[in-house]
Amino acid sequence: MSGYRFPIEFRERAQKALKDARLRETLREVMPHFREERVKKISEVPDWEMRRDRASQIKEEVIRKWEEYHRLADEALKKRGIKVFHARDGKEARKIIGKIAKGHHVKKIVKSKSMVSEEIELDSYLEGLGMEVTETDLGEFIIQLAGEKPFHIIAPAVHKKAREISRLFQKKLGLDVGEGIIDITDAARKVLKKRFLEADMGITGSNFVVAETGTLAIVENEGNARMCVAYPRVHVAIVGEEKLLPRFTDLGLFLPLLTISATGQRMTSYVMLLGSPYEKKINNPKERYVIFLDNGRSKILKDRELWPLLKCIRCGACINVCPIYNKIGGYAYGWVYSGPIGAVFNYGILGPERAGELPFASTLCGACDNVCPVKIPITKILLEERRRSSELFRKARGRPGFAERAIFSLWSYLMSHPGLYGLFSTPIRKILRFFGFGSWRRHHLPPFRQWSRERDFPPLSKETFLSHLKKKGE
Amino acid sequence: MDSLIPIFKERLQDLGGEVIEVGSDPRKTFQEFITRNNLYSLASWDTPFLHGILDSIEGIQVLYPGKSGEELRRIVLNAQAGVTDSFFAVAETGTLALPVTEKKPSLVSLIPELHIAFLEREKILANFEELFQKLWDFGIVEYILVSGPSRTADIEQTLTIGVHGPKRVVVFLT
Amino acid sequence: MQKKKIQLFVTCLVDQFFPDVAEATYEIFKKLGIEVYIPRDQTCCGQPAFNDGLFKDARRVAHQFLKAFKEDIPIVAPSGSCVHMVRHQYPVLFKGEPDEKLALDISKRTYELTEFLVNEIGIEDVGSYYPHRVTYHASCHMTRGLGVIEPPLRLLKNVRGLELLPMKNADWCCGFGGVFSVKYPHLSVAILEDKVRWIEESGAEIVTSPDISCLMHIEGYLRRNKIPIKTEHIAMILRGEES
Repeated sequence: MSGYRFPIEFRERAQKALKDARLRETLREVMPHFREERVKKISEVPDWEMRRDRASQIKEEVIRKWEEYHRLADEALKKRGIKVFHARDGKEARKIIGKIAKGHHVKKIVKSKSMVSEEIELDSYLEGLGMEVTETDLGEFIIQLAGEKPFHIIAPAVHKKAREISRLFQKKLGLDVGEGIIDITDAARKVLKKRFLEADMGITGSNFVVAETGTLAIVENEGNARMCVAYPRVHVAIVGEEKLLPRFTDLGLFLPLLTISATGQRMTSYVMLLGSPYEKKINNPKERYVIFLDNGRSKILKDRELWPLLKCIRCGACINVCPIYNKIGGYAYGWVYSGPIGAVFNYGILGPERAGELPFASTLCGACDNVCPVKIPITKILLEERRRSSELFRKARGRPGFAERAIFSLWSYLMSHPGLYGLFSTPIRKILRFFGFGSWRRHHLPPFRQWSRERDFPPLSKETFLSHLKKKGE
Repeated sequence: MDSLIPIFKERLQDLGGEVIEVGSDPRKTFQEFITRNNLYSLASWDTPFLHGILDSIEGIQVLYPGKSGEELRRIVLNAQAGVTDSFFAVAETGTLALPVTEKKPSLVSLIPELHIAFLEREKILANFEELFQKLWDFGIVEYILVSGPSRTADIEQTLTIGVHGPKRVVVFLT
Repeated sequence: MQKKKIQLFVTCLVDQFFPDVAEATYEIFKKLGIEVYIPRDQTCCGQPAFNDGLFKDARRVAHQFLKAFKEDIPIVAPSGSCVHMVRHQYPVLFKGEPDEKLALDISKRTYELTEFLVNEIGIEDVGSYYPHRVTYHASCHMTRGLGVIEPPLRLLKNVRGLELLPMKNADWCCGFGGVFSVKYPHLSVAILEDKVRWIEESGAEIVTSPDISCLMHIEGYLRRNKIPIKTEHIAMILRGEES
């Protein structure tokens, strides 16, 4: 039933991605733009670092007072006539939404971008109930037609060329569409307009939920989320439990922080600040529901090292600067979230048996820590998760195997006994140098073999520095 | 405040929006704009200020939000332009803060291809922090914050203006 | 700050593969009139095991480091990566352990070479001569790990005869990543390919860095692909050539 395969076989998926020339070309063309725009806009903001500090503090405040802020949020939402649900996991969330849809005799649904809805695999469930679900973000609409998963959190269809999309529209929608980008956009607008008009229910996520006022804040550029909210008579927002902000005025800090970090925009074309449904009036929706999803977040909340993961505002800045992501894209990470935050968060939610390899798939370069608007210590968490896989969980995927552990045991023994370490300076060294470690070259024994498939491995020097000192008698 | 106007103009123009300074006679400026752009069918928010401008303009049909949702949807689908005023604006980002009420429905600034917004220059704030402080002080209603026309770069990372929202946003600065 | 005596942490890679780097570091300090004490029972900081999540093994090795360098004298190493391990990870590794106090103390008095010269003793010109076109790879541990960005550049700019050429994305990761380089070698090299391209585009004949691990990885690729660019650790450049 699930579209995801576990355990996540990162190595194999990464290998596949490295061989995909088109994927690599797309990444090379597209990714620098996000980085450059972000840097440009940040240079306009003299107090950017202070903003990061404040945002980090506010998110930590939410985590510290989790129960209190959730109680406040529930009350505020209910006061606005919004019905609130808390779903423990994907199964429960799907059932709740399915029940709401059936209760309102919903046949057609329009949906705007929501990572959380991917987490619970909502679309296929609702389609299974006989409802039509249309993804209305242009990129999501395209990949929904193609039957694929999103390529990148912010740019889901960026790997598809215009000509390819035109043919897709012809095939799946029976439309004769020109091959230009404007033609495609016009065609999509016409098709989606009809779907908005006919939809019974709109499903969205929410970038933030304000605890004190029950306000939902949703950012977008196309206008499709506005359509999902303003046309159908029922609006359902599905939101991760961590999406709270304490005060309405916190949005003044967080909205530009999000848009600059995500796509290097000072502000997106639209921000919706939503309140009460319109019950008996002319505006839509007439009913509004908010479903908070746990799905393992409460476990992360209690975790002494992993709790900072709940600060994430899903901007994708870490993804854009990650050297690994920039080579292999999002599919390799095997689940909803990709890049640095994907590695650590997927591990936190799915656990070491399913996602244990992900924390090892990093050079620990720290670029992600540097750009995170809420200062999540991703590198620190990667190391902690590696420790757990290596030292705690026997069944962790990607756990160092017997040989690797043996080598490190031997190595650590050697390195903690200077006398033994000094053995490398004796005639043993001459022998090693003679048998392959005397020049820059390829090797055939692991782990030197792995190193030297594409690089030469350096020679052991004639003498070590320390033994040379000993000789000089210094 | 005066220093904020050039920033607002620049930032909104950066996004593909337009700013027209209204002289001493907003009706005249608006009339000229209507004629220049061949507009004859408008949907508008129902406010005294907008009635004051629009009701006296000749040769155009102006429809205000009606009695029902269907009527509203029909009005905006058939209008060439949607007219609103603005509660506040933000210079740093070229943003208009539009409240959403029964007389000021969101669809007016969403469906027609052209969005015309009247903005009083004193209402321009410096940045988002100031905006949210003001919105908080005035009490929480529903808002749409609009920063230029709708856009996407989802296809080949090429910017396309005008997807589901308006292709053009024109601010009349009073 | 007057620091007349330091302890030299050679680092295991330098000791075993590139001892000239330690020699050059020693000579730099000798020229500046600073006494260099070299503990004989030093081995490694423990980073390779730590990197792999094998904290127990790392701690065993790090323990030896604490023993070797327990004298209350500043420790200097020609390596951003090893210094980062001691400064930032020893507090994590030894939290709640019997040696925690010593570990914290040592973590506060361990410095990278260029950082020590510029930030601790105010030296920006070491009187070196090195007439080559050089570009600088700003390693992850130097920039994002230790926050040491200016010192190496200032020192290089004062080297006589040296033409310092800018590198595009100088602080982008080279792809080494410790155990990553052998666990995911194809990915490691894929990332390296970009770095090599930027090195080539700089027009330099030599690429330098305070981290021998990055240079080892880069040079391995340059040699395999017969690219006529050399790598040289920054200590060698700061020691310089005979004029």
